[in-house]
Amino acid sequence: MITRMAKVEVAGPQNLLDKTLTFFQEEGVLQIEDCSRCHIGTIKRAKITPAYTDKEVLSEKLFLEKLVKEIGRLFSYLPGISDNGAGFDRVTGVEKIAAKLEKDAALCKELFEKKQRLENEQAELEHYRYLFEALRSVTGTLKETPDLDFIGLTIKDPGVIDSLRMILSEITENNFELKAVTTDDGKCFGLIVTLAGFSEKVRKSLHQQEVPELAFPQSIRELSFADKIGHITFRLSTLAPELDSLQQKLQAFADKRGGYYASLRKWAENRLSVLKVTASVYETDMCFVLYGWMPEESVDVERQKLEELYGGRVVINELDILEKELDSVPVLLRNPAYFRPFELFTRFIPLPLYTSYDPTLFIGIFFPVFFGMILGDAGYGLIILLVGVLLYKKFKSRRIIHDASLILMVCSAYAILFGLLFGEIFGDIGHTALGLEPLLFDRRTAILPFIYFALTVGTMHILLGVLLGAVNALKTKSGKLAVHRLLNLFMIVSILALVASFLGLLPEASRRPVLIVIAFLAPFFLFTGGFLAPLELIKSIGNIISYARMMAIGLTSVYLAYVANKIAGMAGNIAVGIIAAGLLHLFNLILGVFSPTIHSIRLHFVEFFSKFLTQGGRAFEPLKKE
Amino acid sequence: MEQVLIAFAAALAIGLSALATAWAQSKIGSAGVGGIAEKPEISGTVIIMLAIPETLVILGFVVAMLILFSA
Repeated sequence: MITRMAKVEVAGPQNLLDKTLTFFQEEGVLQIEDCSRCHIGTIKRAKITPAYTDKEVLSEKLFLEKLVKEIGRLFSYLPGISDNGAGFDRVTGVEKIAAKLEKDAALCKELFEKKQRLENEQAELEHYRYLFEALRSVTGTLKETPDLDFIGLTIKDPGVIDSLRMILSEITENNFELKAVTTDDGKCFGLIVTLAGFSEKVRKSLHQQEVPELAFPQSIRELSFADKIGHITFRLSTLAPELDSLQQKLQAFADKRGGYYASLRKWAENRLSVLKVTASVYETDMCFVLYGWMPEESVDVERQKLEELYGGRVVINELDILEKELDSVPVLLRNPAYFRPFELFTRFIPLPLYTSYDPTLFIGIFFPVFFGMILGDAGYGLIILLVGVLLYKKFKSRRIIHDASLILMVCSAYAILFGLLFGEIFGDIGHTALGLEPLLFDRRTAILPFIYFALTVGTMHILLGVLLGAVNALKTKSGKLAVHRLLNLFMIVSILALVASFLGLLPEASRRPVLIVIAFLAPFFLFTGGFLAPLELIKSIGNIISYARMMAIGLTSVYLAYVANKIAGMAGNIAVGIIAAGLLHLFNLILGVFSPTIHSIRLHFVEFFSKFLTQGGRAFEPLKKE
Repeated sequence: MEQVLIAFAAALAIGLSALATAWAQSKIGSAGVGGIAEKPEISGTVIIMLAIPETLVILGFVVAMLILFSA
């Protein structure tokens, strides 16, 4: 539900401004608003002026911003900082702390950069060690002499090796050796050994053939192949303890000082949020004045607390909310425990306006019903219930999964209910094995009754939406719009009655009175809605037909379950049959969770909410501690 | 012969609308995935947008049903 808000004015002596702001930050119930958005009277406006930020506040703000940034920089060097420190109420000697922070940050930066350098070197050497190990078989038979030159290659396409041999043979007058090796991960490397006099020509040719040469690091470039491997192995063995030592030093610092700095950052951020709202504070010669929004039920509570704290020197006045500012009232959604998990879906769409409705209520009521209607299988419902309970127990701390599990549990109850109404437990197993008969109708055979059922549900849903739209228009004193929406409702009912009479669902005699009603309402309908009104009417009819998806998707689910059971029967072997049917049922179950969810939500967002919900509300963002 | 034509008409009604839905969903899907790559928080909205063109195939399905059952 959308919480009722109160527009408030908070006033008190200027020396209590800081304390009052800190008080409201602790309480977290006041959204301070710039005066220009509050529509206060012109006489009152003439008496107050914006409280300009003084030099002291400005320098404090800049100092704190630098402090937060510096702590962020320090944390970027440290491993495993838990940023959930308890926070301080007050920090003294903050300049000294800042100086110490600067020294700590410099020290950690040095350690961190050294660690990074060594890690890069380690990664590079590991790469070359792998390479030289792979080439060892190639170089093993060759004797290194000063007149020989070794050229390493990275061969992207092994198909070029033969053509490379031909080219090398021509350039070096057959004085060369080319050996290629493919590593375990599929990379191909080569080594050309030739007389030193030809090496320049060979390199030029490789460049022309776009065969990249292996570039060795400076430290091993001058070494022989055997020495290269030895050097790399030795260096790697010394790098590991060096890295361990650096990591330990950083971890020790993080353990010792990380929590303290995390708390300091939290304190600084909270203090900054107070300083930032001072830009929206107004003052008279002696007093400060704040304007803002507060949940209506909090006004008296906060008033009482301020009275106890400051003995009536800081007061809260409730102001009238003007009609023109209704659309800008911040929106706070608060729902009972049953509806709260469904806010998961509400978060997909923008917030409603303050004067509109909270979509969560409607999703909470209709979504599980639609889900149950589409899935409509008691067996699947039971499995979803089990999955929901498991998720609920395992992920209590993760809000999204926790909410989703609660939604699954509610939906599964409706799936079981509709499963019993349709006589379905894992398709037709309920009927064949347990003798379960449908209480409503058999979805597999009663296709037309099922489609009429889905369209009837859709009609009721859409009519409710149109009715809510009319009520909303009345609430916002848009009389003409309210009348138009009511006429729209009657026109939809009349047209559906006409269609029903043609389909034989209503007696033919009803056709004439329905036509008369339509002819009577049409001029008023056009007058209130304009020339686009018929299009809106057609859209509404289209919206109702869209509910046929509940039947269509339900039907596919039934048939998939039926086919799964048929295959089990046809397998000729119990084990194979059970496995095949189990897999198909699992597939159907997965589809049976996703499809009804997406389509039920879509029916709400696209068809239902478009009839009455006005989006574009501002979220309620009170001044509060992080 | 009449039975064949009725079945063919119903198949066309659902088949063509399914193709149209698939085409629209391919466009929305590719654009949606691009959007999700930049803003992962829009995943839910994209999934719902993706379901919007399915109205076409639902309408096709209703027409096919009417063809089959009113014939």
